Amino acid sequence: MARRFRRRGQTDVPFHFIFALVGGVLFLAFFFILIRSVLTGSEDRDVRETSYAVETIITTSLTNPDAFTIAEVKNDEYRFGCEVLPNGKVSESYVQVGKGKDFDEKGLVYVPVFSPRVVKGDQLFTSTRTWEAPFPVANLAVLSNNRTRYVIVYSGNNQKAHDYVEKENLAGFGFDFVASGNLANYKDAGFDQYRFVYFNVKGADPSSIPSEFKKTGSSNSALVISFGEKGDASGTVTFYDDLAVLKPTSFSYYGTAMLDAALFSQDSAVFSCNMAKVFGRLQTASLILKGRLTSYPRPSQPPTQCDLIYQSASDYFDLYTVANFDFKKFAALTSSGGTIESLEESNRRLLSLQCPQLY
Amino acid sequence: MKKAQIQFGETIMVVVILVFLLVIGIVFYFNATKGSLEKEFSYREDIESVKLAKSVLALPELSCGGFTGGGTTCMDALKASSLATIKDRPGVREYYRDRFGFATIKLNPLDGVPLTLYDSDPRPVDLSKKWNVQAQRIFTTLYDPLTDTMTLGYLNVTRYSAVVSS
Repeated sequence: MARRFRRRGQTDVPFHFIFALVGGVLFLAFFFILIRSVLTGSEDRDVRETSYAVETIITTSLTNPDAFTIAEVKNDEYRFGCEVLPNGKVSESYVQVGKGKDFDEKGLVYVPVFSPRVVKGDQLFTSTRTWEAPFPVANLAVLSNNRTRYVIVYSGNNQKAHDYVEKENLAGFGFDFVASGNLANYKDAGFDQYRFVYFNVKGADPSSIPSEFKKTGSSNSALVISFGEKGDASGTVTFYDDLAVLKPTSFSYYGTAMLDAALFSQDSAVFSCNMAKVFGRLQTASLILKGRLTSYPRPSQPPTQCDLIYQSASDYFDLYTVANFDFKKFAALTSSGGTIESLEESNRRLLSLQCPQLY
Repeated sequence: MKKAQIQFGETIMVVVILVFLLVIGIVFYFNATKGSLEKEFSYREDIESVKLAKSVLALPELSCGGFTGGGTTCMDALKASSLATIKDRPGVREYYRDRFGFATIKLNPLDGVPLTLYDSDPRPVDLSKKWNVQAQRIFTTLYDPLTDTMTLGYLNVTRYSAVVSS
């Protein structure tokens, strides 16, 4: 009998030990998986909320034109993406926080935002411009931060460049002003990226940018602005997206809002994709203005000068009702003596005649 | 032999109680998560509603001309009237539907006829879903270019979002 008890004791102890070990491991594994999923979910939520917050900051900045604002955000990397289809429709536009995959790919599809592709840090600078062509069409958001530097390269007197920055209320974004002859002495001060802007410099040559800024894979870029006959109101902007390659891409611009948009876009793709969001509005805005004319008093007999202006303006607005507006079609409107100039002149004449204006 | 049966029963009871506690814990956790998600969803809906209202007020195609000094809180009454007239045109309707989604936007001048600037109320069309309704009212000045006068009005912006069933 005593022998039987001893054998039973030897059998029980290993069984309990094994059971406790297996049960304990399973228990711990379950809690480990649970805690991990909670933490991952928490990180995803954090990323999602930050992405949404940045979208909201940019969207609401559009409601406050000409105001420069600094937004404090979570210290992270913010990636701005924009994709446009061949038919000119924007298929994706978003802000991605860090490497998070939880963001709305269409969150900014209706928000024209001109910025570097990647902005790092805990601050975002935003400002909004109303683009007029020549009537108000859209609000454009320009965005940057304290780790991006804009180098205005000028020739002769730098007063015009300074005046432009002050007039456009852009001083808060961080500009350096360098004479074109002195550009070789400009040194890297440790910013994340540099954008060299040749401000109406005759014979502007981005190859003169010091080589330390031209390393392959860097996000530095250059823009050459050439004013037209009417000063900064219109002209040409030429993008040099990669300073190592220096391949130019040119666009015509109209209005200082569009010029600012080109200045703050990291490259031609950012500029053209976000302008595609804006071109889509030209048709609707012109339809509204054309319809507005029908509320004006009927032409008298014989028609007054104002009546004649309203008649021709209606025809000008029709020229905006073009499907799939793009840079080329828009450029046709900005030509000398073209539609935009005619509408501007008509509006000025109406003002002098003390008649209700076109827009 | 009886002693061995008692020990086995104890072990089973321990396991059963542990599993029971775990199940209760999981149920509480998922209920808490669900509540937190619903709160986040509701918060976002409120924000979207305010964003929509502000963006309507700042639409450049409806804004007063710069010469009026009206700024973003000034709407041109004739532009609003024109939009109310053309809002159902194919290109215009699609354009604003993509931007505003399911919403109704009405302009109510204090001394004039209310205008519906945009209307995409899904409730009469999609009867299979339940809809949350958030409404915002924002006051604005209205400029009449024909009389060169300013009056007051307000925008009623109503946003509809589908109720996510649990």
